[in-house]
Amino acid sequence: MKNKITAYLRPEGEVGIRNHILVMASVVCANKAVSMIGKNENNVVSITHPHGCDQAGEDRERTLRTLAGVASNPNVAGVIIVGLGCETISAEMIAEKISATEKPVYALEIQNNGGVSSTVEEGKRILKGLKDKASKVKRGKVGIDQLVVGLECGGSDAFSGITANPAVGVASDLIVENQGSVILSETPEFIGAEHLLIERCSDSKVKEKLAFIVQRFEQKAKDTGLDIRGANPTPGNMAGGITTLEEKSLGCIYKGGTSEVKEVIEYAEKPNKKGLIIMDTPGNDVESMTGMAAGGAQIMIFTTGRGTPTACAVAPTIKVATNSLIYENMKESMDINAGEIITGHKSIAEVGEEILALLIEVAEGRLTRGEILDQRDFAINRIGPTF
Amino acid sequence: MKKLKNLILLNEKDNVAVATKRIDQNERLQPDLLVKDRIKIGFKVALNDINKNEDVIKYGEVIGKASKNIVQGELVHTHNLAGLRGQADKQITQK
Repeated sequence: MKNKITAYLRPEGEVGIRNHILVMASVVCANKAVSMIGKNENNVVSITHPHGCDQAGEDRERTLRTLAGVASNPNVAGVIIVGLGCETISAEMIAEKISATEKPVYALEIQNNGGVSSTVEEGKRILKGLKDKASKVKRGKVGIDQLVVGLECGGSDAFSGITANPAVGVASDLIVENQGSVILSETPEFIGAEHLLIERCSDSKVKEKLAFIVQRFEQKAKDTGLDIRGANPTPGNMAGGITTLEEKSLGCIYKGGTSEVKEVIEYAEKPNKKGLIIMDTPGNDVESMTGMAAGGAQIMIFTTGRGTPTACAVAPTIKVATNSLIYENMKESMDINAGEIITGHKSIAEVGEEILALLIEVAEGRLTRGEILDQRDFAINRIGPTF
Repeated sequence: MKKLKNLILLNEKDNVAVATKRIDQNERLQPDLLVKDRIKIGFKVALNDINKNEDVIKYGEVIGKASKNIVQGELVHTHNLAGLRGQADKQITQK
């Protein structure tokens, strides 16, 4: 098995598989300027969102951590953060957090730059320098132990837990055997299957943390007085043959493979350990992937049975279809068909190896379908109100 | 994972199997298994009678309880199977 890749070597020792320049809004009011700076620019990813102001406490901290984390992702070569000037989460605050990565970062404020048009002009000028710097970043051979792979499933159907997720599990085990890391996410989709993951935790602290995040999530649902079965499994999951949340969860956790759970981390936090990591994220695919990208994942493997085009803004997202029907129906968004496991044309292990082989090619520059379509989704998981 | 005719049995402990093809009403898949409902691909069929409040097992694990008596060969879905987790009115059971 090939376990070396040629990748971008970042100043602080991390490894990127893409060389993006990021233009990011610190606050909703800067979205227009950000879109205009990134317009008609090659190799520039523009990140806009509806947050960044009138946020407090833990919620504010989480939004800040997510924005700074995504900009710090090893796939990003240089950053411009655009703020307004009077918001809760300023461009300077984000830039300050990114500075630990030693990559070039600029903070612009619309109020201090004479408005949107002149901020855009300044941003475009800075972009030229960033492109020059990004093009000079050295590439080198590294092991796949440098990869952090985010695992996601979205639009699950009854075959998710039979074909695609177990095949991704095979790939996960191979990555972990090679000292790489995989992040299993989506806490609501541990509900009813958490006992199987808890058994696999490396020590009692990890066990407790895992039990805690699942209980916290379920309690949160209870506190709202809502039956989360109305939202999860989704109507689409049910139309695809999944009846209960437990059933969905049991199929979902196959993505993590069979190795020991080394660490359980909060949303958008960076893992301290290598191997199989669990991140507390919601079932919303885009929020979950954004959290993992903020935690440093350079690449995503995403299984889907109902078919979804979504892909992470900064990390190439490999889409694995759980059945041949959806693979054919949404071919433009699908990278691998695990549906052949149902027909018996391929084994779970074969598809798992196929996923890993593609992952290595994508790590070296092959474009995913999502990248070809320029699908770059971004959403932050909020835990508090906007005041 | 065991492949039966038009069905996958995911675990020996399971009392449901998953349709890998659309199965017609009253189709006999095995000498001892007559499918009573039309089953769409991916949906579950009861492999034996499951009484109300008995566990429904898939992947070798509990996926919920029968909300009414289920007979062998019947479709198992939201009309006769209820999950136990994630509900506002139920206590969290830590396994």
